[in-house]
Amino acid sequence: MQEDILIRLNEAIRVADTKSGMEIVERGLMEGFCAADLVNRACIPAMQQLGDLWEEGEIFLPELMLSAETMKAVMAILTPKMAAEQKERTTCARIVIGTVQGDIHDIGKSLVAAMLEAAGFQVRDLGADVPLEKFCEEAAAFQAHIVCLSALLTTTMMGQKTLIDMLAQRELRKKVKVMVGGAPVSRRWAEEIGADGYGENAIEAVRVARQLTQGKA
Amino acid sequence: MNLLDRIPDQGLLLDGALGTELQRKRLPAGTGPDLWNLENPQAVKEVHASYIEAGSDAISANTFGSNPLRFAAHKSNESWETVTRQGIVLAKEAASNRVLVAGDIGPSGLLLAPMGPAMPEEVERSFAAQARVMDEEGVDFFIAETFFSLQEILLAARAIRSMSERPVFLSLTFEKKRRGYFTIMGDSIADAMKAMAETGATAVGANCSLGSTEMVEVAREIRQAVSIPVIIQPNAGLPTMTPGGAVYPEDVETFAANILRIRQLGVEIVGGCCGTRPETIAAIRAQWK
Repeated sequence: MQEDILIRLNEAIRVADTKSGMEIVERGLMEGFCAADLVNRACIPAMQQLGDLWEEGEIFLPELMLSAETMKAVMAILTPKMAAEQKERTTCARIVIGTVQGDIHDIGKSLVAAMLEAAGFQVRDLGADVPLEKFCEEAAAFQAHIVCLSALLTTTMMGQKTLIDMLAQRELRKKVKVMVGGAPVSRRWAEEIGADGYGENAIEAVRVARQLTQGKA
Repeated sequence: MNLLDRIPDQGLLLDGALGTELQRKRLPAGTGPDLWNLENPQAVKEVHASYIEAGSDAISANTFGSNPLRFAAHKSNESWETVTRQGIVLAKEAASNRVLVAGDIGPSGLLLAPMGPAMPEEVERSFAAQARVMDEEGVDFFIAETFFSLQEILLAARAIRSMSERPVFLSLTFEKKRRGYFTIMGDSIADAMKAMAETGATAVGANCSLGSTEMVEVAREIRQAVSIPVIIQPNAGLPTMTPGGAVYPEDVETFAANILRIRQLGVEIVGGCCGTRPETIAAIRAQWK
């Protein structure tokens, strides 16, 4: 029966059945699962499977957004439990995310924010057309581990580079990792401007964010 | 004879990119290109003129980002209506009846409910408002382009039709998946083209996101899906950033050769999207038969 809980939780996330997902989690915890087990053996594999289906062209943005909602609801139950279970919390790192100033594109960034939140990160979404100054302020105030910058325009991509320089000037650069993304953004660009991470899509962004925050409180 | 009547036999050559050309004229990073209709109208007219010079049969007005919902995101003090109206006026001045002028409508920039905050009625009203201004200013036809959602472009089609009898071109943008080409919302080429054709559109097709090489495959699928005129406007590849700005990888010869292949598939209406330039259009014109 133990295996059954994992399979059903995985399934609930993949088909975006939030109500069942929450019920299964509660049941799993009653039956003696620890929260980290449910996350690592059901939730994360479900996200990875969704990512594969996305790349294949079997599912699209609507399915991914809905599954992210289910995942968020499930993680809202599991994250505090994990914190209690282990001193070293795995995925409670804080992230500030937004689309850089001058760029009003919101959709891709919102999907990444939803997926990060679904993965258990504490996410502060600043929206689109965000002044670079505001990224710095929020990163400091929120004590963010990562700042994620989206840009969909080749003109506003430059803002990603400027922000990295601004963080360095304020001696925040050592405290906060920078991830960049957006349609015209490439791995090469990320390396060129000295970003710590790049995600080609929302799924990869979550993977990279996990790598960058391993061992972080 | 009206140029639109010639489409089935002689085709129609549209223009290339407006936004990337305005960037070359020092449009500041972060300024919506449409705002230059008021702030730097001369630059907008120069870009239009360069495409007419290069041989375009029709130019698209600088109004892509000025439907009320999308324009609101710019937090500008100007009104979407002034910017739209002025965009059409500039295009018509540049055209001075030598070429056609299209009212260019872009997506709202919002996701429709339940995925996002936008209610369909609100989105449709936004498109209708912009289409009304364009109709009043006497555009020759409408082009709704770079939409990533079939649902949203169908709202645009209905909105335009509620305000004007003029011809409507509808163009979606597709991504390549392992299983084929789809919009990010999951609409397949064949289904989307058939649904768009059913709105009574004059032409349906695809633009942006893909370079001209991949667009040849997309054009083939679209041509097979519908019998009405097809419109194809590829990017000059996907941009890479250099210290000097964005560089689009496809050279003019490659692009023009692919456009020729696309026309040989039976596609009537072609042009360029991001990264294409007046010389791109001139190269296509040079091989036009």
